[in-house]
Amino acid sequence: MGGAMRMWKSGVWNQLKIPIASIFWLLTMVVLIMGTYNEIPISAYFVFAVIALLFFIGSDRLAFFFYVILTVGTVFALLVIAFRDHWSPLDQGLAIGLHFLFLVHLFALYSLSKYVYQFRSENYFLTERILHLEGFISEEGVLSRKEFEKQAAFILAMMARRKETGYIVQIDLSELPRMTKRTALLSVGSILHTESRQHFDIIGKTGEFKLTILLQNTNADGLAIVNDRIEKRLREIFQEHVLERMKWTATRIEGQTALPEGVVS
Amino acid sequence: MRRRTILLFIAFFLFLLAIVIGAVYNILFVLLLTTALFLLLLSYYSLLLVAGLYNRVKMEKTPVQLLENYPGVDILIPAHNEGVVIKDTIEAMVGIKYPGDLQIYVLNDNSTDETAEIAQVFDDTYKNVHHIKVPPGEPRGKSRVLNYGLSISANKYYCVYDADNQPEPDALIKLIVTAEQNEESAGAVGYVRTMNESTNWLTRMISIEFQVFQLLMQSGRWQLFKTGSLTGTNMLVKRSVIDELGGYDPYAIAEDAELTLRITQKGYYLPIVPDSITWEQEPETLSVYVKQRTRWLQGNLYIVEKILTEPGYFRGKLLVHSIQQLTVYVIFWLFLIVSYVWFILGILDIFSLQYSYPLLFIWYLSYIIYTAQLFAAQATQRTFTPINVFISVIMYFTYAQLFTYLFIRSSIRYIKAKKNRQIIGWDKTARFKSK
Repeated sequence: MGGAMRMWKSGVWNQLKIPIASIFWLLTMVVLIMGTYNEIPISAYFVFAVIALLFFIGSDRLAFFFYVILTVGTVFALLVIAFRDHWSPLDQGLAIGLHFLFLVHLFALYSLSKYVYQFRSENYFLTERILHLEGFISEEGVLSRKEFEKQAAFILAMMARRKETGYIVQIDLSELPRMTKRTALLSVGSILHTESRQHFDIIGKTGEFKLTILLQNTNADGLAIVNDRIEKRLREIFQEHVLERMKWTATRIEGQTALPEGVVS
Repeated sequence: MRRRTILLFIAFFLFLLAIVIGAVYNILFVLLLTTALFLLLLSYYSLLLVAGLYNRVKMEKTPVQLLENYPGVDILIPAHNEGVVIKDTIEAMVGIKYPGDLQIYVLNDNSTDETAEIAQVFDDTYKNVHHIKVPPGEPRGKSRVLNYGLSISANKYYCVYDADNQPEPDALIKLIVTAEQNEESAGAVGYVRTMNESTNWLTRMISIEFQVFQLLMQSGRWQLFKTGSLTGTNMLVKRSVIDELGGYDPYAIAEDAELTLRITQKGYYLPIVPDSITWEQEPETLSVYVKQRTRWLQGNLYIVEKILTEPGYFRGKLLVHSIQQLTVYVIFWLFLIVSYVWFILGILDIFSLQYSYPLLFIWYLSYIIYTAQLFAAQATQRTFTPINVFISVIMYFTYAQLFTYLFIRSSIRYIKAKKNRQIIGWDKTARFKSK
């Protein structure tokens, strides 16, 4: 419930943030011009317009760097003027009001530059990420059950057509201590992924605590090599009695076009 | 040490006397002196702010390099009654990606809750997770536990994580790469982020404050002086360095700050790695917060005492740290007291000064510098939200004012403990179940 509410709020804010920042930017600019046009030469506004463009040349962090330089620079400059001209409390109050408005205006400008940068980088990042994670349950290279079934069906059909043999190896971790099952699943998944042939064999989470690896185009010797490699890595990480609780099964594939019964639960 | 302490007290007394005499004969002189000092302090913080931001912008473009060989690392996790959080913590530790030898030590400091059972399950499952029962002893606290952890581990580096921490999988490798690339470094220090930030306004304020500390005191000081501070967690140190220093000072409550000073004194660097991130819990209630901060402030007062009473703290890079401690815990506090006295005298119409002086604008300047720091920290960490912006605008009037209360509370307790020759105990921060 709380999560859904947060999502909704976040969605609303994402839709409103640019209009809100734009309105703040415009309103504060109008008030600033009205409050200063008798005091400041017109060229100063052009200088500021050029500075404002700097906000859009790089990352959002760079834009904020400019924001801080302008904030700190102007506030110290005004303090020097306040000392020099012996500002009365009223003068100080007016200057504070205008300066604060100027900062709000700058912040609106920074926000706009940040959103533009965010859209730019998020588009790029998300496209890459979606391509990478599509179908994976985590970043360990383990496929979700559905994706595993889909890819396995395709691979098995190819193997049958080419008359290749292969193996389905299953590792059941449900006998492990309850406390460490989740981390063990991730660790084992990561090992299976790194020790199998990338772009060739596939690994899937086919049960709550069950991982399955489909080794294509291999025989008993190939299976033994992969098993040895995986076992060696597992021995480096897990205690002996934990390894004994991991249930291994290997099923030979020869001509089947569908996953054997019980592989996916 | 005693002679030095007496001399310092005399100097401090003379300073106060000079201010009083100045106030009687020429109040304007006192006003100018305190204003000049205050503006100097604000200028320094503005400089740190700009330098910190510059450093983060620069770091954004630096790619992470890989090493040929990864040295062995021991992760030390001091844990005293951490049953509420320890499972999540060890799970995160097991998930750390590190190509070299990695040993994880859960240093169980006489826990009476389920910490031992949970840690033992992981010890029984993973070869590199070790549940270590630390023998009881005095003085209680993290320093003693870490010293024990160092005595039973042996890798080239050790990395400390608090028991409520969840480092990101690449946090450690980034620390190691930085430490190995800097010959003169004592290790490397990562960033700490708040996992329960959105719980309430207090946690949001603490989170923003942490981000400010990291931007100014870590990135800013690294950019300006090539010096950083250990943060107590997500910090990597070479074993050779800690051995050379003789381990942790068991009486130091702020053991990270104390060790930072000794490391800097020896001429080592502590590079900052903003991309190495660990997530930790912050106090969710005011009472837990007050307790935690009182302990931290007492720890810092211990360091101030050391700086003032032991020789060698005003040389080289250590000067940056020593002046920092003194400005925050002595000079800044004096400013606060003076400003409150002026305020009360003015309100009660006991004292007034007829002089044209832009005090209002000086107040505004300090507000803007403080708030700009809060904004800058969020800009670099990309944590801006509407609520965080609002909280940043009001923090000067709310959260920042707590410092006076905390400082007075800690000082009274510290002086009392000193007077009664008591060892200041190490108070454990209460944890909250992750939601």
